[in-house]
Amino acid sequence: MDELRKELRSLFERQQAGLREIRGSRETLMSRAVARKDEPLGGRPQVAAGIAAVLIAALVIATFAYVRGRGVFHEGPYSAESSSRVATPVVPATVKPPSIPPRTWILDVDLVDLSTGWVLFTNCVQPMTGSCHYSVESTTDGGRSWSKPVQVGGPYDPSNGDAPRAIHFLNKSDGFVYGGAIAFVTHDGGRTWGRLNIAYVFVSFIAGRDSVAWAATYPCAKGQLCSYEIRSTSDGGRTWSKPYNLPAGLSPVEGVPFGASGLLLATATDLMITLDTGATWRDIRSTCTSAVFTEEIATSDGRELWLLCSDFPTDSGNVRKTLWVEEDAGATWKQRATSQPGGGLDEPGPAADFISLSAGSALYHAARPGVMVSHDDGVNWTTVGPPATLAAVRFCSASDGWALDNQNYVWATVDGGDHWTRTASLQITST
Amino acid sequence: MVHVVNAEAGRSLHERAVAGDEDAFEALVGPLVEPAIRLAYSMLGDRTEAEDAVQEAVTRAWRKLGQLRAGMPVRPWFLAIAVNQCRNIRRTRWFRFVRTSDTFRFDGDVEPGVERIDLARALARLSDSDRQALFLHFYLDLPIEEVGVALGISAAAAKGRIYRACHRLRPDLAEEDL
Repeated sequence: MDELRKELRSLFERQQAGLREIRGSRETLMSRAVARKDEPLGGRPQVAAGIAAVLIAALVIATFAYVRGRGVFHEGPYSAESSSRVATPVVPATVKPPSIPPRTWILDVDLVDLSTGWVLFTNCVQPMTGSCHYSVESTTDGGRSWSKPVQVGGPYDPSNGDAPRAIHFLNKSDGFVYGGAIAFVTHDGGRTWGRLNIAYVFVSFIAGRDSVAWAATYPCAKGQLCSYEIRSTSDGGRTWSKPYNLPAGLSPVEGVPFGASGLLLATATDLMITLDTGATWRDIRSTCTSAVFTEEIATSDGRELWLLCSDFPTDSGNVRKTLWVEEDAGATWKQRATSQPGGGLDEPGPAADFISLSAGSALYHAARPGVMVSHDDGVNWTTVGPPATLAAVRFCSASDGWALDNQNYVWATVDGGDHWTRTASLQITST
Repeated sequence: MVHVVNAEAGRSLHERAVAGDEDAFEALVGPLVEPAIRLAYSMLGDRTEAEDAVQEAVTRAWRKLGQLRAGMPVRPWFLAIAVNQCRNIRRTRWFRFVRTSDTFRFDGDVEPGVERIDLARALARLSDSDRQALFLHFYLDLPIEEVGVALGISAAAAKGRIYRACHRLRPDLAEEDL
């Protein structure tokens, strides 16, 4: 054991080598954090400027995942009409890695259907001399072949931590590449990219499907107190609505699109919902107690809202989980399950990818094998396969979805998560 | 590595901090900033983001200070906030594990030796939660109980998680060795 302990320490120390001396930043960080104590949580901290670089330290093993149906797979609930059921997930016979150049790192992957996907990668690998570039390759045949790389924006200084990090497509044509302070849009499947035509300084998230998308942005410089802005587009990002200013003190954490025009928004403190593409918003008071540690939200239709509260660990280390469901458009929350004995939910632990597939049904996964599923309004929960710890779960319809486990295997379901089949291991590795 | 303060022992600091004394708050939380940045870096793989996450965690800790119960150790409480902040950052992205995998790339930096390379690869194959538990216990030297608090699980679950992770790295280990 001592030998393993020593070896692990050594490995962790190597991994941490990129930080080198960090004591000098402590005072700065503390003073800035305390100075922000009366500002909204979630605002961009002021740490970054001038401090060390983007240290992407890694071998990237990006796994390609599968999705069925027409929609984009980023967000959970999908309208019934977007579902196209099949009995068995279809898996390409061979999938080869994109032929990206040596010493490049894959940052993000996205697909909109079984065949069509994109990879965002960069040459910004430490030690970096020169400029960082960010590029996209695409496949339309399930990974059998890949396009030539297309550079997106840049070049960037290696110390610029706001460079592109994420890629998200709404459909086969319209997609986004964005980072902490930059966003680009394409309308031709990634062949050409242009700067996103909205005013922003920082980007929180871009979410959506089909032609509808939502952008949560911050319009002011670091340290300057402003309201976050929420915009929507219904034409794939060509034009955007006027921004809706979140009330002071609210910072967006997560957005769950639903239907053709709805968004359920989790802020650092409460919830907000719009049914009309952002024209009007309704505040929803979170019913989590002040002891809440994490909140997970889900909805399939904007009427039935799910809220999973995980309280702060008690002295014994346990975490109380409580599931609330709201079925009357905001009037009352009803407690459906807890993690207490007989309460329905499983053992304590943070939940991830909490998704409502349709009225009365929801699922989530945690840091242990399997998926927890309920089909009776959240009263009873059962653990179903896959028998592996999952990195992500997404659905493209109320029935069809897929999961990625930590061994880079892809699992698919066509019955709302009750049964899962391992379909492939699709590793895309830098060459 | 880090002076452990709990809300009981540091009662005066705690009370003063809750009352708005910034110096007391810094004395309470300041020593935990470095391990928090290291933990955040291990989860996010980017120094800038790690520092942003910890700065946000410090601000949240300031506001949540009233929830820190007497006798509760400050370190895992604060690290738990930092972990949660890192999770919030990661949940805004697709394929969060990609960046986590980034932080465990050792090729080119690994000293010669098949065993070390094998261990690095085995470590990279562990789940995020398993790696976090190992990092907290073996690198930041948190006792099992504090690992549990920081990760939001019981001490028994933390011990089990660390054991299972070690067992995957070295199958011949016995749980009693922990």
